[in-house]
Amino acid sequence: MPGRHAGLSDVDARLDRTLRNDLGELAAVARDVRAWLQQAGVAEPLSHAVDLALEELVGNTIRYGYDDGDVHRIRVQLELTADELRLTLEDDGRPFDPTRAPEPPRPRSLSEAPPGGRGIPMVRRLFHDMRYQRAPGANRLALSLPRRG
Amino acid sequence: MELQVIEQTAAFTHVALVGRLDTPGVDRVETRFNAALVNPRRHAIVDLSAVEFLSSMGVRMLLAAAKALGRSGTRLVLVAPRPLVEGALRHSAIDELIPVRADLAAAREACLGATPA
Repeated sequence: MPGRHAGLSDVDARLDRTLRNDLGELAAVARDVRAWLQQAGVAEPLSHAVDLALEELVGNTIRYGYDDGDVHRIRVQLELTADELRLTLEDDGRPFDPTRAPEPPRPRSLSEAPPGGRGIPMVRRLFHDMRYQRAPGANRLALSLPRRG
Repeated sequence: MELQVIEQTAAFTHVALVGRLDTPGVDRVETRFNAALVNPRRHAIVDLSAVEFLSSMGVRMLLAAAKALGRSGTRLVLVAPRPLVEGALRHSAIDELIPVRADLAAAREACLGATPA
């Protein structure tokens, strides 16, 4: 069922990585993910979408998601089926639902343009389905894309 | 991420970015990028044909340079992005603020639309 991340029996390949809230670790995991997707024969636009989601969403969690200076764990899971690519991100940071993050206003000119706030909209435009769930003490975001077309 | 200065004339600075314009890439290149480009007398042409990946941090770097140039009446123009990078420019709506052109001749023409202070 597209976008539901439901049954496991249809999954052809799965990658499960856990990283600390550290941008250096994120860069290493993103490299692993790119290599895994390439080896699995995933089309470049899909691989690019996953790459962007890790950079923007996990990067945001690492930068802004925690109120303490402690070490936290962030889980990145990828699943490939014949029809779909599924990415699930889980963290124990502050509650944050990126599906409800407001779109930045369209600036009328270069001089009025705010410097940031574009990462989440860029990801939202790439993924066909994006669902957020706040579990006890954890954010869970499930994203998916069709493998073809 | 690397920065290559291709040409500097009285009117233009032409550079190329090579690699991934993500958080580590921006950390590596931003100081040199600004030093090479942000000049009140020269337009800036940035070749993106060898950029493999563009994230919002890269967009932020390009936008900051374009704004700094715009304050002095010069312009930053982006050239020849690959399709996925072009998509990132469109999805971030940065292509509505910074001219994006297919080749160097069109980029030079876009620069000449602006009048240096």
